[in-house]
Amino acid sequence: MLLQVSDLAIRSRSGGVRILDGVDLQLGAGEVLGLVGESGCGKSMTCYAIADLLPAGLVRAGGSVRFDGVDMGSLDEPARRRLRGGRIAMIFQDPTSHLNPVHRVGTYLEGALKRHRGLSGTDARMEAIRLLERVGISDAKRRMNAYPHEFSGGMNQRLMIAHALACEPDLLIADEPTTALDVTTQAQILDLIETVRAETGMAILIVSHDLGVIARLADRAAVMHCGRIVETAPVEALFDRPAHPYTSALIGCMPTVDPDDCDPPRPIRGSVPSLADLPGGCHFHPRCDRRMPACGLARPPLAALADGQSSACFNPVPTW
Amino acid sequence: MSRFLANRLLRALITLFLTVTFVFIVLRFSGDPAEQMLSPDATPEAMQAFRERWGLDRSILEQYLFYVRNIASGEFGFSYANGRPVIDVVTERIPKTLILTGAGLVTLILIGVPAGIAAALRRNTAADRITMSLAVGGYSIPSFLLGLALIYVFAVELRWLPSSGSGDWRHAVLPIATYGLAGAAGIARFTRSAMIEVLDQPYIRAAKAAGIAPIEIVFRHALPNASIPIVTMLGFNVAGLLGGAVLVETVFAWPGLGSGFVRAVSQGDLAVVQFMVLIFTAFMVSVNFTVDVLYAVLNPRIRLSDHGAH
Amino acid sequence: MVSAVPILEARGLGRIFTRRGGLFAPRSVLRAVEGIDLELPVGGRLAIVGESGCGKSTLGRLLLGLAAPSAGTILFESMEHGHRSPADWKRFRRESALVQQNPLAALDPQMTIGAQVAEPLTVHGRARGAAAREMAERGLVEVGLGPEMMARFPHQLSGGQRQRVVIARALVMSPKLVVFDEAVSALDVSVQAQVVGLINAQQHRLGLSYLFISHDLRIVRHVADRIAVMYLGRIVETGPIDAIYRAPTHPYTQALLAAVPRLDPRARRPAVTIRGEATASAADGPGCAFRTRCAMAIARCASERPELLALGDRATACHRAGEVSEPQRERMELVS
Repeated sequence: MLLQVSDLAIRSRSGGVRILDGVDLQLGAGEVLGLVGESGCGKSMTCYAIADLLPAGLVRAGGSVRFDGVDMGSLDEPARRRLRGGRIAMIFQDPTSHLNPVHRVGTYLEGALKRHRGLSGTDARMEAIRLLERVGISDAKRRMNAYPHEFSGGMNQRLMIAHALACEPDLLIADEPTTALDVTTQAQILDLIETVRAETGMAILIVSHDLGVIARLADRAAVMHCGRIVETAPVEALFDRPAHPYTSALIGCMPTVDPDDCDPPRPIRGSVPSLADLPGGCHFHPRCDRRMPACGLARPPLAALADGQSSACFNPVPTW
Repeated sequence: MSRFLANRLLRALITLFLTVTFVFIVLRFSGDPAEQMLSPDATPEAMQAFRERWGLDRSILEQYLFYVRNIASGEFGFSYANGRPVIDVVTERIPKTLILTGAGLVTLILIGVPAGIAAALRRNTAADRITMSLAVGGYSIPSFLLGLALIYVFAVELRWLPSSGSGDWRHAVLPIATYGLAGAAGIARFTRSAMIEVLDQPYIRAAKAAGIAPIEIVFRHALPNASIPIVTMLGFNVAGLLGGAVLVETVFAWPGLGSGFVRAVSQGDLAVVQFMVLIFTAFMVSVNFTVDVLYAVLNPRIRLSDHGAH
Repeated sequence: MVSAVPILEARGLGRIFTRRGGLFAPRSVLRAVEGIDLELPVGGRLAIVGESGCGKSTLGRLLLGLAAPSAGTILFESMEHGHRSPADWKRFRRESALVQQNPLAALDPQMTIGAQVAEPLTVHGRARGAAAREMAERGLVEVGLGPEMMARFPHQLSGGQRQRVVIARALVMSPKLVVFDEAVSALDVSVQAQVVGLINAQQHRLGLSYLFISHDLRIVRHVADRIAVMYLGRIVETGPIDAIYRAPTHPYTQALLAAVPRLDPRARRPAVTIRGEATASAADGPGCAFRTRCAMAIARCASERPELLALGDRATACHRAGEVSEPQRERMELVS
């Protein structure tokens, strides 16, 4: 396993609000894992915890993150820093605000090449230009001198991908990489991510609230709800026969453009509960059509079903 | 960039021109310059000669053109107080003031900016609170009072430094310290909040994600962005230093423009006052221009926009 | 059901934004909206879709008289916006409403929900005091919120609840025309589906006519009958939504639909992806604004702007409309 997250828990420093509650994730080398869920479910926090970037107000309350067999908690800060941006690269939602406005494109890329690959001078410059061309930025030589605000959002996301590729990572963490982009640009960026994955064989952890993005890119997907993983499965299985009622409901409320799919999206009743005031047992049970008395009392464990699918539900949707 | 510079230079010149005009209007409305500039016992012939020399017997428009031409050709008349050319009286004081304010500016930057950065990095710790309490204190004390306090401690009690005058470097220490400490307080507070805002930006998180060392994040990623508002603030500080010169130079009996201005006003030496106002304005305008240019150098979003301003 | 006279009509509508030229910089002109013709029948539900910068929000503001057009006319119930007296405008404000994307920004944090929903009633002199409160409460119940919401403040509500409040406030005056501008875009999908259901129910109840402006091609299908696709300020294709989704004729509509991620992991790569991004300068000059990104562009596309030509109840602005592009054919084969 390239990445093994076990029983990871994150809580707020002050109130003790649980942001993540016993998250388990496995990601093999070269695999694409999709992490999907609604806002506040903890999918982005999972990324930050893995990349050791938790915001100041949050603390690790338990669990471990192992990267390539090494517990990241046992490493000192310089060693963790060599991993970040070296073997683990990250791209973000809203690329433009994640790029330093006073640094030129060239400076940004050459910095990464120097830091993680020891390239400098003309070597770094040539490699940076090559990277820009690789992510489909035309006129790369001239654009080395540009600033991020001169680029569109789509170009800035390409730039961030080029930066990620600069250090030839084993794992790319992509946190909602296309959410802020227009749909045609989104399609281009998803194509690009798929292409560079095929070329480099790196593993990808992609986070999205959009099941369509997950279906498009992921090999396997994990569904998060209120800080917990409620289901994980190969994507085909997840969409063909979702086992957790939340997964099923989430798929049911996704509208599509397929002209033959005439059903209106089926809403989930109620609203996403606040993390500070979660219902007991399974956090989904008040909104669930399949709830049983036990659901409000105990937390259902993530139990393995067939074919690599597992779900945390006492009364899963029958697959057939 | 050149378009931006041309734009700002033109604005600076316009400001200067407006000030010249304003000074003209104020002086013309404050009474007959001949009576004010000449001694009360001047003969009517002398008054008439003065009026002719300065063109005061002509129409107001002609007078204005005459006045502008005089300024453009460096004709500023003579000091009423000692009869020397105004230009000499004033220019000999300029370096004195520049030494104090320049050294004061350097001191306040060297103290204020690092203190602000340190406080921002230790946000909400004891060190942060102590630094900021000191800053609030320094900010609240008027600079002349701070000057008097420094004189009391270092000149009167400890007798380490002279209390006034301008003989050697030792005379400059206390006034420079006054400027530096008073200004550093404000800049420290401002630097802290600018750094905190920048450190919370998404690109700082992205820099951490890229494995960049903390020290490099602070100085290469955060500070260049924070320096954009800080430079603007420093521009105000320089203006404040010049305003403060009137008080601080008087307190330390330092023969600069500030104390000279106080003296000229109290003696009714209008020719000197008029020229000093122009010098002060020219100084302010060039500070503003420098800040604008620095702002653009630091901020590519301004530098590269089509219009240079928005 | 649908009367012959449209409730809202626009002819040749345009809006130009000029960027003030500096001392040494020329003035620049942005054609945010240009040459828009549209009709909204009574009870009609029209979706306006397009990517950011296509002018769809500007169009919504023009139609509601919240921005002045640079060209063209707008008629609401056969009365031209340009000919309205202040009293006519007041009546139009009563009969129209705008629902925007960010409900937290649209609500006053200092006022109770009840007071905010009742506000339009008192402002327009429809009701006051207890009567207004009662109507507000009924309005909240209509959008599925309990009467206990009346005394709450916006920050105590979830995003979905806030969007319902904004909708309740828009509907409390029983308007004839509503413009929804990205009204569900910021919501989670589970809540988005609720709000879509709510909009449909209210449309049914009140016989609303509305424009639903959105970048999301997936959601508009469920709230609209007709669609107008905008590209750089112009409508490039319009018609019944199902017909257009089934067989888009404009290459941009084709690309837009193909770019939407499918929920089927097996139908992965979209066959039609267009290169590059929309640049406003492409809309200047005589040709088709989309030609620079279009796989089907021919010489004529650069020299002559295609008119929006009607064919039955649809219209397309493309010289090669109806010709099936190569990638589109591939997609059809893939689907079948």
